[in-house]
Amino acid sequence: MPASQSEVLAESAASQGKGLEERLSALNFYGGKLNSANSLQQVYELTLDAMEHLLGFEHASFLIKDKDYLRVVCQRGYTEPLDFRLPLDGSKKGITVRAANKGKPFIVDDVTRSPEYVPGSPDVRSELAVPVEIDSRTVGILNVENRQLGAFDEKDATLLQILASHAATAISNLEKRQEIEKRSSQLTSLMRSSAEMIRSTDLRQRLQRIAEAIEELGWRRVVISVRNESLQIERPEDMVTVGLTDEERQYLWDKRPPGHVWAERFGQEFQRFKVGEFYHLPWSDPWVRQKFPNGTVDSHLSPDEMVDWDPQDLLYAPLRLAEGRIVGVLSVDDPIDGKRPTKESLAPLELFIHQSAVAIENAKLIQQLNSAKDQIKEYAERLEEKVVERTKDLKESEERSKSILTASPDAITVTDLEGNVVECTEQAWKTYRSPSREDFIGKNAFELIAERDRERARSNMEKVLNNGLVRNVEYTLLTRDGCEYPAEFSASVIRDASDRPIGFVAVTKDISDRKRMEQQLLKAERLAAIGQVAAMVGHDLRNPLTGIAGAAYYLKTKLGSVMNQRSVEMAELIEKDIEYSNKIINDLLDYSREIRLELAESSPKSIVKEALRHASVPENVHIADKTKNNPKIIVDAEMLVRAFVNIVRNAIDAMPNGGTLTISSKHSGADLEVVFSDTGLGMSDEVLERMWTPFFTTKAKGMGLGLSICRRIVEAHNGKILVSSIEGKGTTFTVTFPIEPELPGGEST
Amino acid sequence: MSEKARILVVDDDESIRKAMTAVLEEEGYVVDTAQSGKEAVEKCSTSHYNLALIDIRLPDMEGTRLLNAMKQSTPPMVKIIVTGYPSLSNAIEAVNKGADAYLLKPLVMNDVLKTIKEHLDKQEEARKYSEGKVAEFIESRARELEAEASVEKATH
Repeated sequence: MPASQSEVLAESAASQGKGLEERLSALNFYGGKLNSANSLQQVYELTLDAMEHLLGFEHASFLIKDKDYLRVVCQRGYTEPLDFRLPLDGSKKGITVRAANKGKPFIVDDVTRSPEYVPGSPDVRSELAVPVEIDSRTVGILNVENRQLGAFDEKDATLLQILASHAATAISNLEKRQEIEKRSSQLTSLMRSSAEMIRSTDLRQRLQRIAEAIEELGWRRVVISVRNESLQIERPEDMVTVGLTDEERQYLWDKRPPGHVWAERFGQEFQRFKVGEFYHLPWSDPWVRQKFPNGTVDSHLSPDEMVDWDPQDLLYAPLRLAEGRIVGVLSVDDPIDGKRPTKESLAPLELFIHQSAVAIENAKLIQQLNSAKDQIKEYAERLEEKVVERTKDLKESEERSKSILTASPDAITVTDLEGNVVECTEQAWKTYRSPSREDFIGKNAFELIAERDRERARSNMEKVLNNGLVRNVEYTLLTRDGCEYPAEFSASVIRDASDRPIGFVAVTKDISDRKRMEQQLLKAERLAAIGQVAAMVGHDLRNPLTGIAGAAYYLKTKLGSVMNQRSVEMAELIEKDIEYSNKIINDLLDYSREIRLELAESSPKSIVKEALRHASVPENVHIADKTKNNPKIIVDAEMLVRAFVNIVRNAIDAMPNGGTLTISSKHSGADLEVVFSDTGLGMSDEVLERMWTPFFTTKAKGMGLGLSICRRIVEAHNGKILVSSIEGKGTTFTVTFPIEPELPGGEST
Repeated sequence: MSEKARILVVDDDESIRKAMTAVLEEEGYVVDTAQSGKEAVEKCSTSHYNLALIDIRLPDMEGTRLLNAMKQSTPPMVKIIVTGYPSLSNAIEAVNKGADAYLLKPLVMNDVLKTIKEHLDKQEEARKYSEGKVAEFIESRARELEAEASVEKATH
């Protein structure tokens, strides 16, 4: 429909059959209109307007070249719509096809005579087809037909060509505008995607956004995969896809080629397929087909949708960091426009390549950072806990050490390098007999050692410094008041963190008891040896004594009648001394023999009575027996009698001028106490101290074994003997032993 | 006692052997001595002794073993062990091993003579008793034989 003055003018020029000049100027006017067209359809309409009204063609059509055929997009003057497609390969013929293929106008004066003619509207006799070309690329055909033979001439063709060139310019402009719009929309989506991408911190999410952004840029299938150093995908999650079904995803994962295959695809051999950062492997390339004998992928595109993209084409790019390391792979497929990619069309995608690579790297870094953060957080959280725990441990350890030190029966002393006491246990200052710990601290350790041992102590201290420790050295130590005592000494050096010696720790053990015991043991061993010898000698003496006894008896009986008084006395003397010798032997044997108790029930009174019977008490000694029948006691009566005999005899011997021996018994708890009190001479302290020693005696007669044996017997009964004596007043023996022995048949040496 | 009793003193100590011999012969016994277990066994096998005084410790064997070795000799000889170790277990052992008594060293002669006499008296009594038994047995046997002989006569 004419819309302006100029349009009216142009129309009138056509209708009035004005000259060529006027038509050309009218065409230029249309050219201007075409250039301002907003859509292809408008271009088609305007072009056909010009053909119909300006150039006066009755039957006109606009055909557009699609991939490989011509298609009518607009028509005028036909009753029926011209809805057909003409393949460019000429399989369905067509004058338009010929014009398109030749790129030249084509005039047919008589269609009936043209083999290319495709019958359309009836009665058509002649036809003119003019290609529409942009930069010598045919994009379409302007076609006119007439019912008259030879209706078109070269002039018509020229005019139509001018119109075609105007239409071509308009189409080209539109294409460019579309391209610009497309780029602008891509840019918009890109901006939007970038913003989204930056917002999402999760790598998968981010890659998904990137893939979606690529999809928006015109690719139906996008796969982004994260790869390790050897270009391997480690987990299915490392593969982000868009436009793939679950089955396809699974297939892709199952059939994923090993890393080295991908390394090869980015290698030298594939260099020639590089389009910018991408590699485009066209299926049309024989080398590619050979490389992928089994094909590549199935396309989602239908063949009509493809322009010059083959479903088997491959397009991929490494996700490369600035430093060159590859962290992933991007593959895209199924371009929406069905076109092969160009450096320009891929340019926006390249942005994503870099972004993906950075995202992957960042994610790794973030992951590392996060795990580091978590560790720090956990550490920080646990630190307090640990401090508490450690403090507790330390305290416990300290308490333990302290309790060990406190519990130690040995004195522990810490000194500085000069030997000044800086720390000590209670045992240490108490052993020194200090009134307090403070009194002991600060003393020099050498002052605590007897002077004669100090030299040795100093040289030992040197040894400690050199060897780290000394063990079990014996020193004589001093107490605060100057008393000496033997001690065993061990010391080690204390070092600071830098291994510098800073002092000593010394452990001293009072070994007075041990020393005493050692001496006692030595004495006991000596006595045991004496006992053995005595026993042997004693036994052997019995033979000659028997001989003497026999001989004396013979002489006495044989010569009895002829012997005078004195001779008889002498013979009796021999007999008496034999008896006494035998007693000495018996004492010796008793002393050396192990005491083996044969326990039986008895009473204090019966034992004392028996002892008194054996003791042959002289007349001037009065016995006051106050012992009781109770309690019953379990003892070796024979042994106990022998012990008591010795005590009684001792008392009698202490009262050469007569006196009283009072014997009493007392049940005291689990023990029985038997007290022997005489009114005799008493004993000096010196005698008291030595009285238990075997072979010690104050008497002219006797071996001094009596009390020794006595004590052994009592001790064999788990009892003890206490003696108190006042010189000139008398002596008291107190024998205490359990009523029933703890261990029946107990034995003691 | 119709006959002088024969006594064997077994002791390795010569002074004891001599003193004992003197004392015992003075008492009217016939005394022989042996200074070892071996000699004692030999003497017992060739001569008869009514009694032996045996020291428990001999150079070649324990006196208790000697008791065993002499046990079989007949008629029963009185065996008295002389020991230097006075203890109950020793005494029990001696008696168990076949000693009739034991005496302690140093020997007290009165005790020795008393013990010897007691045991010899016992032995004599036993001998007399068994002799009486034998005589009685022979007498009754003789009577039986006589009776049998008369029965035999009567039946034939």
